[in-house]
Parts: sequence; C-alpha cells; structure tokens
Amino acid sequence: MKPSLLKTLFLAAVAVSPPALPAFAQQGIADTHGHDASNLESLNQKPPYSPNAGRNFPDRPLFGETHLHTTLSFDAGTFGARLGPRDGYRFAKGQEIVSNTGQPVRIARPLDFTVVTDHSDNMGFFGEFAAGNPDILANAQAKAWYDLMQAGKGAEAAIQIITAFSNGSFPIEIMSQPGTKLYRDTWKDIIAAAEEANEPGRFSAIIGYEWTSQVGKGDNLHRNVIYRDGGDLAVQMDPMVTLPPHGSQNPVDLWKWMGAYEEKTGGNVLAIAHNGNLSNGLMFPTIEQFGAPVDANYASERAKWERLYEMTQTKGTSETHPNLSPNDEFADFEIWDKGNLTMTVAKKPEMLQHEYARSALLNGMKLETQFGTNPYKFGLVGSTDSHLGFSSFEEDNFFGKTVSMEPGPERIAKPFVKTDVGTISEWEVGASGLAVVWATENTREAIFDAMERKETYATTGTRMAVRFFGGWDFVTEDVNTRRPAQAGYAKGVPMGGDLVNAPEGKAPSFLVAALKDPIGANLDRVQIIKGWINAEGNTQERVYDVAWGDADTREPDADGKLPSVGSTVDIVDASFTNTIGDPELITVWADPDFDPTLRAFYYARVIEIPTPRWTARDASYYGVEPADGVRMTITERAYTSPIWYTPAQ
Amino acid sequence: MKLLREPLLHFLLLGGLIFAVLFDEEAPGTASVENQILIEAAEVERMAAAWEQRWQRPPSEAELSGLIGEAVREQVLYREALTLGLDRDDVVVRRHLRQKYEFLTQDLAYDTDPDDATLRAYFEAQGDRYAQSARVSFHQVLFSPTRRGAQAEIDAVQTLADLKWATEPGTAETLGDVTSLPSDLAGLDLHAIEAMFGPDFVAALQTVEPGRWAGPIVSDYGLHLVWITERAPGRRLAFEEVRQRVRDDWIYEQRVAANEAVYRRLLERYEVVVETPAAPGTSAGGES
Repeated sequence: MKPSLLKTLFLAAVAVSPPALPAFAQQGIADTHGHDASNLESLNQKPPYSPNAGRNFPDRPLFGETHLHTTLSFDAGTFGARLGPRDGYRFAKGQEIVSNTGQPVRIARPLDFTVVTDHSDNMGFFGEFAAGNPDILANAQAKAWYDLMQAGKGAEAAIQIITAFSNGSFPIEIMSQPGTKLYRDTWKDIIAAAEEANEPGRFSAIIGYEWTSQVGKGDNLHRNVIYRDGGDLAVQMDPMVTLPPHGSQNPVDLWKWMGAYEEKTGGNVLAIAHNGNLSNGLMFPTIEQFGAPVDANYASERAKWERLYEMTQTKGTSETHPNLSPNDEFADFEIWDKGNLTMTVAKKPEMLQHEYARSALLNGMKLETQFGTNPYKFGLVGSTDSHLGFSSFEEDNFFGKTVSMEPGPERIAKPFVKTDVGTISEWEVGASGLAVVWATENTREAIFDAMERKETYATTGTRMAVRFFGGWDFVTEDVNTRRPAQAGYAKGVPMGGDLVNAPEGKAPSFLVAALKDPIGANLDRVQIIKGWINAEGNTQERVYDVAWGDADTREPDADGKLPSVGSTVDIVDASFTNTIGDPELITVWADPDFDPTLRAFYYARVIEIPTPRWTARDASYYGVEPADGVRMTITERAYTSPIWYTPAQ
Repeated sequence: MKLLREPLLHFLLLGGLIFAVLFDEEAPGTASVENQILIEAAEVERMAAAWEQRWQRPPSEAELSGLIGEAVREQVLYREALTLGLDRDDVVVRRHLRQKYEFLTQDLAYDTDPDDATLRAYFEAQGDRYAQSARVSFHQVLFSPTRRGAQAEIDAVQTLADLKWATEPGTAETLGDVTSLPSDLAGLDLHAIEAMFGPDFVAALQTVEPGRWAGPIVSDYGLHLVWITERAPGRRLAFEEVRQRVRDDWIYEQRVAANEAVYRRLLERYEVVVETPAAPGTSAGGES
C-alpha cells in the first residue's frame, strides 16, 4: 500500500472521531505525494481551530482597469466615440452594450473595478457643442461651426474643429477649461457616473482623470490620476490640465496640484504614468527635465506621488527592450519603438533606457545612492487606454483602441498612425492589459491602499492569480501547505515590499505561486527577474527560470536554458489546447548570487503557453489573409511589482 | 452629456445632416462650382500654420506652392474618382461615412427623466434580473491531474468514500494536493467563485448538498472534493434597493431604442432585396 493511501485512511479515521480531532498545523503535514505519515508529529502545534481566525489577507486578486477614455475625451469624442462613462461602467459590470459602430459587445467576465480617466484638457467639449450648449454658442467661431452643422455641413464642421485644435487656433475662450461652467459640469458628470456605478463589495467605480502632458512634437509624459475619495471630495477641485493658463506640461506641477488637492480636501490621490515607450527618452530622466536637474527633491516627490507604472497597454508593452536586455529571450514582446506618440520624431537607441520599466527600476536604485530616495520605486499595473468608452483587452473579443479599429475585415491591414517618420499598423495594437490588486476588499479605499503599498501586478489581459513574497526564511515546506499565502504574509513581505537587514549568511528567498486564468491557457514558466547595482556602480540584470510546466519531461539543458514549452496554436481556427504547460506553478526560490552589500530588486514574470493573438481571430472570423510579419500568436504574461533589497547604510 | 431634445431642432439638424452626407462631399476650405477648384485663403493659411507647427518655421514660397499644388492635385483626383464612382465599392469609404453619419445623428433624442411608475413597471417586467446572487461558504480539496495523472480521479473518488462519515470539513484539510487556491471560503457570491474556479465549477457547485463531502467536481485545475458549510440563497431585490440601477437600465434601453428608431426611419425609404446565393455544388439556374 502506498504511503499516501495509508495517510488518507488514517486521516479519514481521524475525521470521524471528533473528540480526538487535532487542529492541524499549517506546515509539515500537507503533502500527500511521497512523504510518509511521520510528518503528523507536527500536529501538536496548535493554531486556532478556525483556519480563518486572524486571517486578513485576500483570497483572490481583483482585476480591473485604471485607464479608460470615453466620448468626454476630446480626441475620442471628435473621432467618433459616443459611449460615455456610464456605458464604460455598465460594460465592466458584465452587461451587453452596443459599440460605437453599432456592434453588440459584452465582456467575457465582469471586472472588479474600473477608473474612467478622460483627458483633463478640453474635457467634455464636443458633446456639449454638438448638443448646442448656449455657453459655447455665445462664441462667434463656435456659432459659425454650429451654423455650419445646422446648414447641413456637420462633417465639415467636425474637421474644422479638429484642425483648429491641433494647430492651436481653437478659441481659448470656449475651450473647456477649469473654472468654466462647462468644465465643472463635465467633471461633476464624470463623478456622478462613478458614484452611480460604485457598489462597494461588488464593483468599485473609481474617480480619476488623465493629465495628458505632451512635450516637443508629441513626446508622451501622460499620467493618470486616481482618487481614493468619493465625489464629495473629488468635486472640490477641477482636475489639473496641461494647457495654459491653468495648466502645465511639467510633472512637478502635477505633483504640486496633487499636494494641493490633498491639503485642501484631506483626500488621497496617486498618479500612474504610462507609455514611456512613446516618450522618446523623457519618461524616466536621470539628469534633468524641463531645464531643472533631477535631484533629491525630484526623487522624493516622484516616489511619493507615482506609486505605480502602467507597463502594458494597447500601445505596446514597456517592460524592457531587446536592446536593453539582450539575454532575456522573452524581451521582444509587443514592442513599439519607432518614434514618439505622434510619430513625428523617430526613436534613437540612446532613448530606450529612459523609457522602459526595468531600466528605470535599475536607474532608480542608482539615483538612490546619490539622493537617498529612489524616484523609480514603482509597482506595476497594466490597463487598456481604450478610447472606445469601454475596456477591450480580450484576444477573442478585441474592439481595438479607437473607434476606427472596431472589428471589421480591413483593420488587420490598416495603418494606425502614418507619418513621414514611419507607420504603426493597427495589427501592432495589443489587446492589453489589466491592473490587478491584492486588496482586502472590493472598495475604492481598499483598492487604493493596495495600490499605495504596490501590492499589485500587471497582466497583458489574462486573469492569472499570482502571489509573490520575499523574506529570509522561506523553505520548500512553505509551499506544501494548503495556505501558501499564510506563510507568505507571516514570514515575508508581499509584492511591492522591502527587504532590509539581511541576516548574516542568508540570501533572500521568495515564495511564488501562479494559478492560470480559470478559463485561460496553461502556464509555461515562472521567472524571477533580478536587477542590481554592482560594486562598480553599474546596473546588472538576470532572468531566472524558477518553476515551469511539464517539469517531468522538460529540464534545462547543459547551459541552463529551459527548452521552449512548444505550441498548440492552430492559426487557421484561432484555437489552442491546454495539453502543454501546467495549470498551476508554485515554488520557493532563493537568490544563489546574493551579495548583501548591493542594492537589488526582484520581480516575478509568469508566462503562458502560446495562444492565438487577436489578429488570428480576425483572420479566422473575416476570412482575410494577414500580410507577412503580422504576429498571430502571443504569450500572455503577468508581471508582479518588485520587492526591493536595500543594504544597511 | 446634455442632449438636444427640442423636436424642431432635432428635425432641422437631422435633415441637414442627411443633406450633408448625401450632397456635400467637399473637403473643408474648398468651394464647389463645377469645374472650378477654389482653394480659399483660409485653407491656405491653415496649410501654412500646419507646416509651421511641424517644422517650427513658416513655409517658403516654393514650399507653400507645393502644398497648394498637392491640395489641387488631391481635389482633381478626388473628383475624377467620384465621377468614376470609385467611392462606391470601397469598404473603407463606406464605413467611414457610416461612422460620420452615426456620430452626428445618434443620441439626439431620448427620455432621460422617467417617472417612478414607469420605472416600477419596467422593474416588474424584468423577472430575476435584479436579484442578489446566492452566497456559498465551502471547503475544497484539489486532486491535480498534473501531479497524479489518471490516478487523480481514482484518488478523489477513494478519498470521498473514506470521508463518507466525516462530521465536519476541517479534517480533510491536509488531503489532496498543494495549491494556492483557497481551501476554505466564506460567504462568496457566485461571481467571485467563478472568478477563482471558473464557470464549470460554479455550475457543479450549485448541485452539491451542504453538510458533507461531495464531488469530485471539475475545474481547469483538476478535481475537487467540496463541502458546503452554508448556502444563502439568492433573492429578488426590492425596487427601492435597486432604483438607481433600474433607472440606469431603463435610460440605456431608451437610448438604444431611440438610435435604432432613427435607423428604422431611414430604412423605410429603401426597398431591400437580398438574393439567396446558390448552395455550393448546385447550379443557380436549377434543372428544368
């Protein structure tokens, strides 16, 4: 008889004899494959009878969106998005809606939270104009456009308005800007939509906006501002804008606005930057910005307000670039590296290290040695940046980034941006991503607090559940329990945390557990990415494979390289099977190369087996032939916030 | 967004837009007289301003005349293309015009202020739509095919038989396989359970009797034995509890219906004929 069966019978016997019932310890006795029953000796350690007693960590992560535009965003509205914040929330809660091009659309599974983040500049203008708002029509130019519309030349009016806005001749007096009634009404309406949709415990509709700083000819410095607060506080100040006279393009001024808001209302806000990949070297400066040096003050203010970074979204994934991480075989993933946001200035290789998250995490530690604060000590999330009025990130249900990309047979071949600098095709737009938080409950406050402590991770749209803990005492037995998270929180810090005071002779150890998306693809592998500053002060990085699927038949080769998991994707049918990989990976890993005198960060990256990309679904559904070079498969992934190790001074 | 609701304005605007789309296809800044291409001064200024924005200096005379030449060329070829009817078979043109039209005509008129009686009637007609999900508290033990292969099911069934007389669930805590799926969950609604275990698991869980070990039920992670400690049934919510949601849903349906009505009115102007294609392998003419 096998030991495991013996144990089963023994435990079954225990189970029917309540008086003798032991309260099992959380460690040491859990394993049923290979260990014998002598482990039962640890039964005499007695935690409380109820395994829930004292438990205050979440059972499941909350999946959401922190970056959604609606018709209230000037660009989205003018180019054809008609859906507003209320539509976005309805969609997120799982209700079917009709898209901007008249197509019925429904999310496969509801989201747990959503932040509508319309552009704060000229917020709400177009809808009010089209509805004949008298405050706007008091202006002669606006009246002329409106009359043009009334006279049957609506399309012409729209083009004139967009042109005027983009060449700077838009009449400033009718621009929707802070302090005006139109702006105020729009902001109140955004808040009202969130208040209506917010259902604590079930769905959090979080207040927010996007501050859309764009410098030079379109270098992207955008940030989303996220509120912890309800409408009673958020309504007390109009959002920060970038255009004069009220606004500024400089993030330093945004942080001042955030400070002023908290001061005035007693509320809480944080900022999430995105698309460093389109900033042309400006997102993560190390020397200077806006003519001012990157100094101790910049570092501490940025670290204070910018707790998270949106690392993956429709306009590319910015974890790292193949040029920056030549030894990372998974680095070449959904890269957008041709130019800035408007594709008016081409990319130069030296810009890259100031654009990608991993290099920023590294440079941040370097700056910390100079200033005492790490300006780039951020956690990670993903989101969509959809301009549709609803979030779209599912490969088999992707409605694109803008209205022009809603499903149709031609989108796989159309340009998304085309200038004399270069072309980005619509097929390059990614169906990504999600912001995931380990919040203690589904409320605005708990989600915000999890964001503040960076207990978050990013996914490219998949709903993996990923736990990641760092400590000094994790051992393999910790994963052989029914509650690895309990060991994780008890013996270490979760993602986003800090390790200090390395005990003599010990290396940091990490407990990582990944469950595949419950209706998604199996997992290929779990990796831990370590970045550190070496004794010479140079940045270093290394990727470790720490757990992988099909482990009974798949071993690293002599050079330590883990072979590919393979692929089951049938491109013609846009289908795959879960016959490779594993549904769950869990392990404890200790850093084999640890030096307690050197700063380091560690984050986990979990990679799925290959699945059909949205382009494959399009080709299959519309029966169109994709051009050469169109990527048809994808390896979806999750990236946790890092855990940082800081040596004693 | 405030919506224009005066019927007269609505009518004028809609009529005007139809005129715009059907009869006015000129680009901005050009005037239409047959066989004349007029580039208005304002359009020349706009081109110069756009140039300056991109290049940070005004265009030279040669550059400006190049821009104007391009605009003239575009007009000439555009008009010739229209004459040949090249716009008619082009899916991109068609879709773009459709989007423009929809953008300009949608959301112009619908009721946003229903009274209570309307909402109550709507609420009553919705059946179980406004119900609170059932909540389930349960324990689960996983038998993983990844770890046990085909033995997983045998082990699960055997363990269930062994646990037949169990009087409380905590005793099976250490059976089954290591997983970071929670082993005991309290008071979760079905949506939350589905978010963790998937839809098949939730469907099977609904049929399980509380108070004893049952299963195995299947998820993508493997086979689960489950013990339901408590099941709070769902209930229909009272109108007062969901008034806001009912109102939102009612308005939303009004909006969709109003937009559809615009289309229906336009559709009435056309006779639509759809021919049935011949099935593959048959002759269109049929046999005599």
